Amino acid sequence: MIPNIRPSIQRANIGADLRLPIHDCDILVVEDVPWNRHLIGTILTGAGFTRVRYANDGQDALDAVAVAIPDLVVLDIMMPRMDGFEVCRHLRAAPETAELPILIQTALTSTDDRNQAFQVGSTDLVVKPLDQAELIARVRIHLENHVLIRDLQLFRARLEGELEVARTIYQDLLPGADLIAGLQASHGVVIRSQSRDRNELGGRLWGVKAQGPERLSVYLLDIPGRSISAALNACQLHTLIGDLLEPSRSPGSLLTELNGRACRLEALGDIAFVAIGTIEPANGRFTYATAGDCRPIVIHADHDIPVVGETANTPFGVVATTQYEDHGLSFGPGATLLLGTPSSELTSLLTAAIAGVNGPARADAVAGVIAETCGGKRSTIQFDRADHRAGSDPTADARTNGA
Amino acid sequence: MPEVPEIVMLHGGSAKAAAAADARIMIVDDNRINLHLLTAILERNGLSRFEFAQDGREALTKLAKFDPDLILLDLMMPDLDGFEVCRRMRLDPRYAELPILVQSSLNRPEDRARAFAAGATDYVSKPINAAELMARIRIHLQNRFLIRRLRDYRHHTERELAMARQMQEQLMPQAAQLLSLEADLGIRVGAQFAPTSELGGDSWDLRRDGRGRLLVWLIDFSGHGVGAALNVFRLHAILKSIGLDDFDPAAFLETINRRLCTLLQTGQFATMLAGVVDPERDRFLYASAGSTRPMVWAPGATLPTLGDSRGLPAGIFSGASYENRSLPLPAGGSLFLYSDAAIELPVDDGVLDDEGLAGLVGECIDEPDCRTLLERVLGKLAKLGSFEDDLTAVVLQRLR
Repeated sequence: MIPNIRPSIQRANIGADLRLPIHDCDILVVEDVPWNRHLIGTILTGAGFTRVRYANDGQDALDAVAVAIPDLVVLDIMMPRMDGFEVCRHLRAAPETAELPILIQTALTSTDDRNQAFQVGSTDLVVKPLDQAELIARVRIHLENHVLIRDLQLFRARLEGELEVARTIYQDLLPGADLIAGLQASHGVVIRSQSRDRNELGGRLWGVKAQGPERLSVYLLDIPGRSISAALNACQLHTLIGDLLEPSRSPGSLLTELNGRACRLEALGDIAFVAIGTIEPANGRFTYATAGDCRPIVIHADHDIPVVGETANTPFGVVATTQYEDHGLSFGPGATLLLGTPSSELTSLLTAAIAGVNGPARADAVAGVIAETCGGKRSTIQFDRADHRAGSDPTADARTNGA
Repeated sequence: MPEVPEIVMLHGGSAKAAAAADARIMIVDDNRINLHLLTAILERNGLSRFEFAQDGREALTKLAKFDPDLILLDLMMPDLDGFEVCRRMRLDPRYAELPILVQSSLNRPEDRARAFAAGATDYVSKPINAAELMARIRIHLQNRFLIRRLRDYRHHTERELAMARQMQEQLMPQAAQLLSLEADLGIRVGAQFAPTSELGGDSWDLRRDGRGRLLVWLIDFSGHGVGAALNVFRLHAILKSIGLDDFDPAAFLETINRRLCTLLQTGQFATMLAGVVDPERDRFLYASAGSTRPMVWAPGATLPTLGDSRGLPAGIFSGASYENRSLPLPAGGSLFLYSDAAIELPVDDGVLDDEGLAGLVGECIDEPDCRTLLERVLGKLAKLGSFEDDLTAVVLQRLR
């Protein structure tokens, strides 16, 4: 038998310099002719590859892949039991081997055969008689790509895993559906949170807490910046607010104290937007304090122009002694209150959205315009006075309650 | 002219196909007919962004401006042949990984070997088989775009993590603070913070209580990575606001435990040791929520003394109570705190354990500077294996 190899003029140079750590890659050589099998194995081990396995035919190859998925397959075409084309089809059909480098080596040289090799999913093709240098060069190129892609994919998988855990912790900080439904029943306020990236980490958090039967404490945090560091800072602020939310404390004094404490946190570097407020549905009042562009917006049942609240000029988390004041907005029956950042862009959109829309449909129109225009970029919390919904005639309702 | 087939969809999703469609291809060939033929094949298969060169020099000149995703390179050309183009490109880091598909009428094994030795990614022979050429181009482009996407992800994420890591390091005492502490209180501190990932669930800190005494705590949240770090930051916010006038370790842990019970999800917890150096009584007064056992030693000792650290981890049961304990810490004495990664390293038939770690400390116990001692102990630990969890270690030494 004539050896299927020709000496190569570049033999000494090739394989000597493997740039990526590919020496210990697992290579499966599938070849039914013992002499050829031995030859390919000798070329590969001679080039420095330390883990070379062998299979005698196609079926044998699939069995070997089932035991452990190799990093590369050198595959003959003409074999008993199952040919190389069929092996390729099998490997490509399975997700775990769909991207596996397959280097077909064949004595078939017709255009049809070559095309068929690529059609069934071969990565590369070399023609017998094998040239040692070319075989090694091609094996090396595919393994380097494979190892590089695998390392990058492992990094991504590890980080996705870490971030998934972090997301569940983060999501757990937000009010759950049960709490929101309970507050609607107990306080007559429908709460909707609009944020398209609900499942992403980020600097946006909000919360709501019943302070007795008459009042609801609400807050919204938005820390711009990259998602992980923003989330770390938002978690700190969220914890501090949790400590400070007491019935006796007004929003202004809470924000003042929060700012003082935030200034003592070393890591808090980014500018934060914070809105804190107390909703008193029975009194039709919303008392609040804000820092940054997150002015509250109230849409009254009987007005077509949204009312925009105040915000402090002093940024949050910069000067420990900053005092924040309480402000008030009326929040009557049928009204909708919005807390969101940045609030300045919202007002004109809302004005257009509610023109000519009255009654219960109005709150939905507001929710619609927010979902459409703002979802991905910001977080907006919408509070609707639920008691409106009982009334069948919104204008009559507004007249009665407006008195 | 051979028939130009439609592109064959290989394994791989439509996203890859879409990415390949706007790939930038440079075609280098001195024969105009070949240029037209190759372009026709590529256009027929949905590619549309081309640049052309008719010799090697022109190809190299046009590279930077066109920034190709793949090069189809002829070998035999006037004014710099394909071999030389390959070699020069591979010397430039910008093009070290660019797929170079050689297409040549040279078809001796020596020519092919020379092309690969010069840095070619692939080699096809003329006359061009359009289907095979496209299959090969597609494979190279898919790899290139996949690698680029994964690299972008990695680059972006690493930048984010680096920023977050910097924030996490700021939660712990900084070098300048340690120096002023040494000057003020005569207590030297060495510390190591080594999360397994970029971020971690360990933290430690030093404070002074209302009586001027030095407080130290070390905390280890369950889990590691970004999620555990979120919990570290939440606890940090609490610790920053907590009153420390007359520090009582057990009462402090009870407060922290109650807070963590409301903060943490089921299944999450933290082990913690909090203590105070009491120079008047020459003792280290501490309480433990399931932490590792603290170690102390006096000058001249041959082995450290291990303290009791039994106690329920924090965040599990809000009614948990903790016990005040103390260890001798005379002038010149040292205190060593560490997270459990340090004692979970594998040894012969089990893990290192606290006794084993005490033995390693014993081997370095004559070291006069506690910071050097810590380095030596960590060096010994590193030889045992790689840490599977975040490692934090703090050593305090009373200089007077």
